[in-house]
Amino acid sequence: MSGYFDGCKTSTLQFAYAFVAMIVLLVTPAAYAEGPVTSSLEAFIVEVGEDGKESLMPADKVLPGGVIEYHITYSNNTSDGLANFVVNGDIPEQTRYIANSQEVNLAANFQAYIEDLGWVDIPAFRTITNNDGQPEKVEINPSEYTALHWTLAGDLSPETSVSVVYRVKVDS
Amino acid sequence: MLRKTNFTGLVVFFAFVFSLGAAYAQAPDAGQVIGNQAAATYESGGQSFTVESNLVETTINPVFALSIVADQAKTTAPGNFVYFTHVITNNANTPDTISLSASDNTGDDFDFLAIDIFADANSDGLPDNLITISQTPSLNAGEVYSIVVRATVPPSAADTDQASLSVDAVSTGDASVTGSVTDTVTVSTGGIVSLQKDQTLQNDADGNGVFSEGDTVRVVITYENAGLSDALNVNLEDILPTTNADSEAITLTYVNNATFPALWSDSSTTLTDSADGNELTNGQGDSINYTQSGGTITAAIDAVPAGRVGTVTFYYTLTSIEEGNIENIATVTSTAQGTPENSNTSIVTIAATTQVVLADAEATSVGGPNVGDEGTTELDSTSTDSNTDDGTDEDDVVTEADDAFAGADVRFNMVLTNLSDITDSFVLGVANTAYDDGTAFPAGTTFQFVQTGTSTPIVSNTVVLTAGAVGTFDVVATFPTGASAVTGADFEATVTATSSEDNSVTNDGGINFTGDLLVGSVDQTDETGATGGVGANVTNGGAPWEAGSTDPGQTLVYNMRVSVPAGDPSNSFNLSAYSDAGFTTSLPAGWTVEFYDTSNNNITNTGTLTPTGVSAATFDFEVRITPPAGVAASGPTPQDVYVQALSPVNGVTDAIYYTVAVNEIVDVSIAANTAVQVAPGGVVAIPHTVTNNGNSTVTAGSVGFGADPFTDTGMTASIFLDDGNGVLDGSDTAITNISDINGGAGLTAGESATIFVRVQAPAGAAPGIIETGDVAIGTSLTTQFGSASDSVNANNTVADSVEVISGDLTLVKRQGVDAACDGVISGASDTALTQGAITADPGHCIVYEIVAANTGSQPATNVIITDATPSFTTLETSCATSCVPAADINGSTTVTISTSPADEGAGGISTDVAGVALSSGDTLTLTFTVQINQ
Repeated sequence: MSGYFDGCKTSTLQFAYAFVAMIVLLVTPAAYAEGPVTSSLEAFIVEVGEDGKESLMPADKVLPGGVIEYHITYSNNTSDGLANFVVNGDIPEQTRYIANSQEVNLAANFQAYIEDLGWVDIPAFRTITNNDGQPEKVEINPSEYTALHWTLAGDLSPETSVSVVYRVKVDS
Repeated sequence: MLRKTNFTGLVVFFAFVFSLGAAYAQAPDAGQVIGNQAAATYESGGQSFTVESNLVETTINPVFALSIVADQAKTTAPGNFVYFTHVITNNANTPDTISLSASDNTGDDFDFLAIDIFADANSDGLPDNLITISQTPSLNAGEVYSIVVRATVPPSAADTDQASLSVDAVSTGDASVTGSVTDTVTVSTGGIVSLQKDQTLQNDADGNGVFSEGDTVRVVITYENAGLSDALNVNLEDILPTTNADSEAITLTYVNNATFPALWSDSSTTLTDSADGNELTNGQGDSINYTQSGGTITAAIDAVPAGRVGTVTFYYTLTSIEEGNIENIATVTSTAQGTPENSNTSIVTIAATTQVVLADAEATSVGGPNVGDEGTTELDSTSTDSNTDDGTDEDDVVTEADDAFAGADVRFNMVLTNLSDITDSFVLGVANTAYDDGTAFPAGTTFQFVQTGTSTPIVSNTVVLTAGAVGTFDVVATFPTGASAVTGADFEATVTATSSEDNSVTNDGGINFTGDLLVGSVDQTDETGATGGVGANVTNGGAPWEAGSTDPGQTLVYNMRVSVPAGDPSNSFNLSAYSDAGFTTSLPAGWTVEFYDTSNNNITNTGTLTPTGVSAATFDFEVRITPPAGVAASGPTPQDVYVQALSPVNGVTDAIYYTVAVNEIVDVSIAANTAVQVAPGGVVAIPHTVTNNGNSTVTAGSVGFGADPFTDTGMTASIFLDDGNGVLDGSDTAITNISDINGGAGLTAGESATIFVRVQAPAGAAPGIIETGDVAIGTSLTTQFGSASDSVNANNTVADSVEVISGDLTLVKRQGVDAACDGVISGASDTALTQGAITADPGHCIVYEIVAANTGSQPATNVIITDATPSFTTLETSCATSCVPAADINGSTTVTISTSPADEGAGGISTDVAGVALSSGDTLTLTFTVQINQ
């Protein structure tokens, strides 16, 4: 014969609560070995040999009247183009810019900074009153430039570098 | 025009003096460093960046140069000394010592007996002492030094004989750098006059003890006839210079009055300037005719006897001068000296004055060293001004009134004027302390000096300006990203320029930020960003923006959005959920809230959001909310959920208020189907368990017979509610509704109650008849929240069967809990034997007792009780007090156990398979103990 009973309660179950670790998603920039934009500035003394050929020497020391050539390079190490890229070059005190000595490897607008005019395309002019009392347009001497900059025509493309070169003459 | 400085210096004064032409430049000193550092700016992702290059430095090498002046010709008597004065200048860009030597030239009329070189530091034409020198002391770049060369003429030299000597100068730093002068002596037996000129500070108008503008100088010209006879028609001339040694224009003003009288040594009467002929005569009858006109002073003395010495004294004022040397030579002619012969070069040295002004405009004079000392008196409103100043012009402070964000830059363009008369380097510094009634910039604000309008740093914070030049630069103040918002700020800082030539000379200018310091904002909204939670509205007028519902254990998903408005700086936000508006309390235990981005990543932070100038930056995400399984229904009060976005960068925050209601789960069940036996006329009680499986309290529901009511065969049945002792007895009451349970409280979520169906068989019921009946719980229930329908109807009915048996053998099984498996039921952890439901934990033991009773009047034979270990249990036979399966009759006669599993085994248990006989009233009892699996 069968009996009846309500049966024994099943043992209590122990639920192990598996906590899903909260993954903190931080938006960090990609890790560049060197930094997204790297730069270098080098200075050289321009020496003219007996045969008239120029050579570039390390610019630790220079005589008054000597010529220093500056090389500036900026490299875009990212995978994006960089817009409105402007390279600034200084004309240090007690030196003057040597006319027509600038070069740049990418399409760019070159301008010089003149104290009373600001950034101007060159050659730049100002109007003076000449000896006859007439207004006359005279070209502004490059020795008046106090700074230079190059504004790239387009973005600086990924994995691309811009290089500029210019010369200054030490006062004597 | 003079060279401008690297950052927009402009020389105003000299542009007018020097026409456009060859630029005047001063060689930099040796050891001076030409530094250069480049910068580039670019945009990426709507943000602007600046990259600075390395610094390169080029040092100026020394270059040596010197000058020695000038060739001289003098007449003297035989046997006399003759003195030649010369000025040596170190034209190098570095200090140098210049060696000196004198040599007698050959091929002339006679040789000097001796040629000696003496120092003449005060340039009065007389040796300072009689120590001969062979070199100058160390001279700084540009420094001058006077010497006296004394040549001794032999007494044997004849009238008109001539001889010359050379004085050579050689640089010590570079022996190839040399200079030379040639001095010529003509011998005369006539009267010969030589001149010596001396200048001294007569009236020190500013009391600084040195020659400076406004002072009066006394000139004494001493004439001497060292010849052998009278000198006749002696004419002295002296011309006040109009330029200094650097060719800069100066103004010297002749003065002749009672305070500064022009005098002749041979008279006490003041000389008159006008050309009025011989005006004074000395005791020997010699007269002087003295004139001054347009800065030219002449004195004509008709005769100077041999051996006679005399002086002419006059005065002039330093009306307008420049730093540097003023050189002057007087000349003399006489009857014997047709060619003018020079006195020594008399030098008045004007020391450099160092002055600088740093302000919001170009300065013409210095007011004082502190901010505010320069005003419209000292600052020039027509010339160079700050190009950023929003405040009052010419008040020594550059003000910025535009608002700025925390973390952003503010530019202050300042003007530096070099009021010195020399080139100087000025070192810039900034102190973040208020200079007036404002406050300092927030802690953590950084300051940088850059070239005007650029990001190019000013190398070594040093600015070089030539004398009188003015330049500009920017101070860039960067607010810290964590700054608090300030409305109508008044931040002040002091910028200082310090002269390198004299570092006790400083001047301060102020920078003042008067705009609002803004902190960005964030908007936490629903997924549209347009309807729910826009702006500061955390709630919808106190109500939630959305009110969803879900079952216990089921996830509810809300979509939300975080926005940073256009124009704000970039920011990032941590996401959190709270149950209170104060954001202090988490949701109740067991509730989970998780955030997921649109790529289904589990996140707690939005990442960096960067708006542009015209577009906001938005971040869409899901909020997944899961109430725990079995949690009580919310009823009218859903769970509050406040989702908050909070920036760890600057504390900007917003939140949105939603609710989640837990649905009510309604399910009442009854168990279990049971088959029993009853003797004719006997009574049997069938227990059932009524359970509330839902998540709310069920307060009413019918309890009664189902379709089949236990009456087909003449049996009668009624339902009773157990009062808790597990046995149907007189204290149990009838139950027709769940509302009868717990004094009307009904069953709470998860609670059970035991009911009995009491069935009585009629006395004449034939053995073998089986009565069936249903007991049902109604499906229309009432919960604490109101009417509800049972969601599972299948478990609302049980079907029992009652079989009429002869022999009136009843079988009752009871169970109890022996928690310690010690073979004894006692204590609070054990449960006494009962027919009702019990609870036990894994590892506990259950004691079963099955009693077969002969309730009839006839003997029962071949009675065997059979049972088995239930699932999840094993037989327990090793207890402290014996718990092996046992059977007996009437508690005394032992009955063998035919079948049982081994200890910790499972399987069937039965009493003697041969069967036992039970007389009327006898009972056969089987007991055994099982242990619940662990």
